Amino acid sequence: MDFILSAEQLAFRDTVERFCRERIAPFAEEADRNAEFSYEAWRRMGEFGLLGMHYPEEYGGQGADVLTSIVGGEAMGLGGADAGLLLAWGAHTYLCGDTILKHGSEEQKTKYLPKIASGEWIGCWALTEPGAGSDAASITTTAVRRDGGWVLNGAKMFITNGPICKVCVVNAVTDKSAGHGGISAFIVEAGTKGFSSGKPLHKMGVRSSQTSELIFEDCWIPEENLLGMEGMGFLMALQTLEWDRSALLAPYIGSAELGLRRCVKYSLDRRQFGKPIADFQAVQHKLADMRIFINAFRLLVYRIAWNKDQGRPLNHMEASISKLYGGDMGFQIASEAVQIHGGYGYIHEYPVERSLRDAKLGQIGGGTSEIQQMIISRLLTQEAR
Amino acid sequence: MNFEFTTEQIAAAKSFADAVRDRIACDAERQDADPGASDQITRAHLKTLGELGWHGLTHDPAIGGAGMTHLEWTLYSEALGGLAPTSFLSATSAAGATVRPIAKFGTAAQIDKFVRPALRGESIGAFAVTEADSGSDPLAVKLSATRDGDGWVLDGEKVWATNGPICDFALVLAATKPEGGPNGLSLFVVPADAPGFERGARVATMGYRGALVGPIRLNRCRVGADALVGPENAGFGMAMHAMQFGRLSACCGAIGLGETAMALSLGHALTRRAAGTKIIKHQEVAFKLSQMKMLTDTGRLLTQYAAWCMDTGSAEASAMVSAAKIHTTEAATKIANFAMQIFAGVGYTAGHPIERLYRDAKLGELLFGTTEVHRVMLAQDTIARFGDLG
Repeated sequence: MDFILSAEQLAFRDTVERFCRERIAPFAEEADRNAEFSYEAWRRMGEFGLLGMHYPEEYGGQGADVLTSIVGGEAMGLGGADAGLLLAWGAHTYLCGDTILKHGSEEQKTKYLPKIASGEWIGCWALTEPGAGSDAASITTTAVRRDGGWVLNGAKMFITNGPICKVCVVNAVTDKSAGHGGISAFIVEAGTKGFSSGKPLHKMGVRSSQTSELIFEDCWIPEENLLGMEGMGFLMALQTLEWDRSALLAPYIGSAELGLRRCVKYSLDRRQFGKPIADFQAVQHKLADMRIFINAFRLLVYRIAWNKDQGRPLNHMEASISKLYGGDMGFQIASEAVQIHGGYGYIHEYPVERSLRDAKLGQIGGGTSEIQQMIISRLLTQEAR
Repeated sequence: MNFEFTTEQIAAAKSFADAVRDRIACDAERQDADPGASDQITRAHLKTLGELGWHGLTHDPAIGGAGMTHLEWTLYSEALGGLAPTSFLSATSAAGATVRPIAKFGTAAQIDKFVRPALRGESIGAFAVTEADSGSDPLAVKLSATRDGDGWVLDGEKVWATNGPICDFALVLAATKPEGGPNGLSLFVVPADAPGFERGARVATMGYRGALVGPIRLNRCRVGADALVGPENAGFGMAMHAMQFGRLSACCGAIGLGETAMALSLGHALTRRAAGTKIIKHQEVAFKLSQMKMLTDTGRLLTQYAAWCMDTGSAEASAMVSAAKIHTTEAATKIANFAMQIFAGVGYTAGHPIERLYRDAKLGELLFGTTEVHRVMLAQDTIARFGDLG
């Protein structure tokens, strides 16, 4: 056992951090305020090779292992890339792209992955519906065979990148009687007749990511757009969700550390009662807790990555613990960061205000904290038997 | 990066845990219920631990140790700390914090006389640093050591010395240079049969009731020049070295207690019925178990990382030990509290394991520097480390 990052990984981390600080972070504040997706930031990320780090090189990726990709994700957060952009990155690279990488045919991989890795085509992944959130198996969008293809009908909700996507991986029921085994996944391209997106939703945080409803009205797609095997959609979705509980968490580590750096700086600069507020133990207490959080969360996420690199299936216990701890504690820490900044922390001009709004999603997206606790207690029960 | 111990490492630690279960943990309840009997029990346990090789795990093979890393050692300490808290506490001082500065900075004669027998569990050391007015702040030490011919005269009183009431020797932090601050303290190893060495009575405590903790009085106690450990006026750094080990022990003990409380709670939740169903089917119960698991798992990672930082001599080691200690010991009291809620009235019964663990858990947040002290230290390190980066 050891906790050593290789020299290459450390160098990569520094390079990505610098790139994001100089070339991506300047977009953050305005993108959040206007709730606008920064296409220019996106283009730069693609050009730099951040949109498909772990894809094999023949599909336009960097061929990085999972741990290195996660170190890269962390560095993006540390470099100040905003959480909305990073959410778009996660949904695009992992939820959409990785599902195609893992389950797609050679034709599908060749067609979609290089354009996803470059950022030219933006991807999204659609599981959640207006009436099916945590209970994902209860989706009602249907896909019925017709004319050598499939016809999709139904609606998806809270789809990150929905309004701006070119490639959508959508989960639909193909055999209602088969329960979990009756769900299949399909690739639908923007512009397909009968496929449309709702207006971007106005969100509390991660505002620069574009989220909307997706609507399928007699949307016909050819047979070749079936992703993986018929009836395997739910299992594939569970595998995809694994990323929600691992790699997608990585940027939050970096964002949290950036937040800590800002809090330290502010508390050294800000003087009250004749001394820097960093001299007050009440402030120190918060800084100490932030440090603990960042270290523990980093270890949790690195452990998942390392296990994935050993070729093992995701350890659901470890993943749920990471998601639960990162979500709940991450929100608490973000709130304390605002508290340290006082009135200044409450206004838009200070990034800690944005971080608090962003952090709330950590307790909701990719399985709420309550769902993670359900999973953990079920696994504990299984282990005890 | 590698997040796993080897199969051999895990197997060896497991066979140690099995031995602890058979030979030591069986007395844990009695040590708590009848503290008066604990003298003999604890003495026997320390001897057993010597036979099992526990005391020497992290020590140099040249002096009878096993040369193990702190990281691997956490496996053993979690097991002992969770199965036999009282004897673990005693052992972390007997041949842990107490002998480490001697082993590392002492003379060959001191090592032969004190360290080797202690590693065998045949001699018991007491860690005598704390004083009535000097707890988390060792710089306020008043016990004095003054030169007397070629020896020293030690005068003053230590409190909260673990193993004080049964010790064969004590490691004593004394002021050798008034107003010298951290550079005015020295360490002495003092045999309990030195004239003027007085072992105080065991202090009755809320938890770890069998623990043999008490004051040590040195009444103009004369010792030879060979009692000084390491250089004169270098005692503070060496005491901190021992403290760091103590803090890592506290982390492991807290994780072990948490594991025990969690295992008992899970067992109870899977059998106890309420409102027509097993209580684990109630989310109020199930989610408490999830929290316990999360707290234990995160604390273990932080502790392993801190141990690794110690092993590799990282500049971050002190801060990471503080981080782990804050997290794990606070987690242990939270977990004990959850466990009590799950067991409810049953757990509140005197003599019930949960009632005992609940009392035991609290100590972690107090010893080897309170949680408050560690937060301040961690914050100061954080400010120094991140101050220029914001």
